[in-house]
Amino acid sequence: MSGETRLTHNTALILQAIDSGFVYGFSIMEMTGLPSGTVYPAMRRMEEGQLIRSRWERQAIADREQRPPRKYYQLTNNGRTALETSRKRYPLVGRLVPASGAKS
Amino acid sequence: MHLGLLWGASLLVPASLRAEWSKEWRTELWYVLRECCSQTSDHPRSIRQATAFCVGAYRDSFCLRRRSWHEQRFLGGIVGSGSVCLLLLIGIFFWTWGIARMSPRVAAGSSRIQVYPWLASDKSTGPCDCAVDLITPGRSLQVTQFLFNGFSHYRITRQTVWAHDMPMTEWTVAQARSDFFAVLHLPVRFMERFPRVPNKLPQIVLSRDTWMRDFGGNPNIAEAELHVGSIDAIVVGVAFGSSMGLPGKANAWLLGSNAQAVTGNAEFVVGHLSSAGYFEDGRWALSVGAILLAFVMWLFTSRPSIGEYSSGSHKPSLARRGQFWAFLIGKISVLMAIAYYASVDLDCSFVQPFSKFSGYAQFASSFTLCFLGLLWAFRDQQRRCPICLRRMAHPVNVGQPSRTFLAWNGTELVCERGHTLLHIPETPTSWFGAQRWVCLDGSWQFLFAQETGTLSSL
Repeated sequence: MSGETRLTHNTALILQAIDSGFVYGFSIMEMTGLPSGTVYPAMRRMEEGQLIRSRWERQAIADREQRPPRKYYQLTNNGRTALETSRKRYPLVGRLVPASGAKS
Repeated sequence: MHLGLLWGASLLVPASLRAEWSKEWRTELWYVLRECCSQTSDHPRSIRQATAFCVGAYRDSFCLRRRSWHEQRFLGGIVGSGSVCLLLLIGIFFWTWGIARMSPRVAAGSSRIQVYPWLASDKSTGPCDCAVDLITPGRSLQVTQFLFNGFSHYRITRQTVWAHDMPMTEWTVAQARSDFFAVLHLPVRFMERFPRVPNKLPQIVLSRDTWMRDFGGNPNIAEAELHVGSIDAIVVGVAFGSSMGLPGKANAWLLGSNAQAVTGNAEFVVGHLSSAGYFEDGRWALSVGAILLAFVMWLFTSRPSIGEYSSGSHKPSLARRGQFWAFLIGKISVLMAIAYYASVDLDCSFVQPFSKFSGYAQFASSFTLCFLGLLWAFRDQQRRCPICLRRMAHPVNVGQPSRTFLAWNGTELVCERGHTLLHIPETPTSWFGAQRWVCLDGSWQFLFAQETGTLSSL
């Protein structure tokens, strides 16, 4: 029986973006071109399916750069496996999102 | 404004997640605004971008709310249950039936009273004498007497009314025959308190709204004297029921008045249908016909198919299959009853009673409600386990779209109690056109934890 999180094209794009270093919600939106109403619910589902995990960055880092602290996302081991599967299923995803993009 | 949008979206988020959710979205909004303002000097455009960002928060918050509903096992268990579905439908039926029974507009619209405008072109004969030709043209007197119990007449006038404890006011007074309420079988309250000793004064019956507004709902209204225009009248009761829907919206009914007709006043002939006449009138038959037509249309326009059973799996017992089909028939029966009473309620609520359009409106609403109801009922049945009648859950995409013709590609759902799997093809093919049930035998039960209500992974 397959996993509960559906590996759609949008899911693959978001996983690829996170893997490329775009770890914040808004930067994922900018890179994938998806609206906030698509990105954030998809990230909730992936976090629930343990493909990604979220953390808040430290207050000290934000204070040093004089900005509010942000929530960032990382791939889990299951997420990396899902990303590999999605690259086979959606070969164009790797071309839409660069493998090593600018870090946010 | 943007913070206000986010605050509104946060109200949808479950309380336990709201603080962190709000913090995340407010923080990201700060970066969105910084990015938008740095990229473009066009202020309205940056506002639009930030607004679009905030609008997406509603979808995210609704997803979180919906997830919390699914996690509440009790609520999820109730919503998915077949018996609860049927009880909800029965509750909706009683609600629509109750409105039909209690609403005065519905009582007026579905009553046996027929109203016809009378032009009074021929003053030599009374209105009720020519009612035969007016109401049933081309039919014999015997047929008309068979279809109607009796006729009456009323005329709408404007009169100045006052009493010793009521200031002078303008009323719409309907001048009617003395047997008006008796012929039409309309209820008049407090009439039993009126003394049987004949009174020489003309009798007047107040409308319910006027009684409540001008007399404060006084239960001792009978025997009160009113000055109506140039005559004095005595109140004998208050009219309830379908008299409220009669054309003219009269404040009061002056019975047995001999006042001369004034040119331009609206006049009406009213008839009371007998049982045969009510059957022949066919207003009720419009709804029934529309429901039957919707049923036939649904059969021909949709392809009702519950699905087939996988060749490798065993089929449910005859009793289980009988229960499955009985549930569907029960749903359809209740839905048809709901469509009938809901169409009556809608028609009488939005269309003027005794209007010639009420029949058409009732037909259209019956057809629409029944057709949509049947579509929903069958769709709901297709997603219910044939064994326990609970909604199938946990849709999972299986297969690859590019291999539709080499393998199987579609959606798989599972019964949370471990009875069946449901396979729905993404693209219907000749070997897999309709959805397919796979019945699971007892050896699968260890996978389904009924206490937690969740699937355990393989």
